[in-house]
Amino acid sequence: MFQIVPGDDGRVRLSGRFDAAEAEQVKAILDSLQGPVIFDCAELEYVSSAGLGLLLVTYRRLKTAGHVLKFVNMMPRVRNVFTYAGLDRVLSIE
Amino acid sequence: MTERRFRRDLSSLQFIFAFVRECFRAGGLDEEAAWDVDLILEELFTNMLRYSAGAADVAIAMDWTPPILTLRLRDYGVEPFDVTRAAPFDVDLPLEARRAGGMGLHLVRCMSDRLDYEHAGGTSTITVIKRLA
Repeated sequence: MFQIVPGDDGRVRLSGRFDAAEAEQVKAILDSLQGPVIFDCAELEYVSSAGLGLLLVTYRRLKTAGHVLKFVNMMPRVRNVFTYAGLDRVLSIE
Repeated sequence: MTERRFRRDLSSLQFIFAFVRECFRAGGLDEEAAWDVDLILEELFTNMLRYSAGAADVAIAMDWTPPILTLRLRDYGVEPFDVTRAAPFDVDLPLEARRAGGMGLHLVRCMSDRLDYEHAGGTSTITVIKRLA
C-alpha cells in the first residue's frame, strides 16, 4: 500500500509501494501540490516506472512554475531505481 | 517451475508481489532481492496489459536453481510484441525531453542478466534470467 501525506511545511511524506496500481489515485494528489516541495522518502519501499513517471511530471510542473522540488532520505534500493533511470542526474536528491 | 495465473488487471500486482515472496521464502532466498523481482514482473506484466489485446490470464512462473533465478511470463492469444526489440531508453536526455515511455523495459534490462522473447501459436513468452549472489 502506498501513502502520500502532504504536510504544512512543504514536506510530503511518501511511504509504501508506489506501483502502477496506485498511480491513478496518487496523480490527483501530486497534481494538487504547490511548490516548493520536499519529498521525504524515508518510508518509500518501492517505486516502479509508473511512479517515476508521475514524479517526473510533478517535478517538471513545479520547476516550470519556478519552484524547487527535492527528494530526501531515500533507501538505497529506491535510489538505485532512480539511478538506473538516469534521474539522479536531473533531479535533486539528497 | 512454480507457476500461477493472474487476471489481466492492475489489481493483480499485489498478488504477483505475494507470489514472489512465497517463492523466495520457499527457496530460502534473501528477500532484499525480491524487490528487484517485483519491479521486473510489474514492468513486464503492465507492458502486457498495455500493448497486448489478450483476454486470458497471464501465467507467471519462477524457478530457483542456485545461483540462477528464472522468471517466465506467458501471455495467451496475443499478437507478437518483442520486448527485446524495444527502442533503447536514453538516460542522457535533458529533463524537458524525458518521457516515461520505455523506462520500464529499461529498468528490466538493468535489473536482469538476460531477457528473451518468443512468440508461437499466439502465445508470447518472456524469459528473464537473474543471477543472485
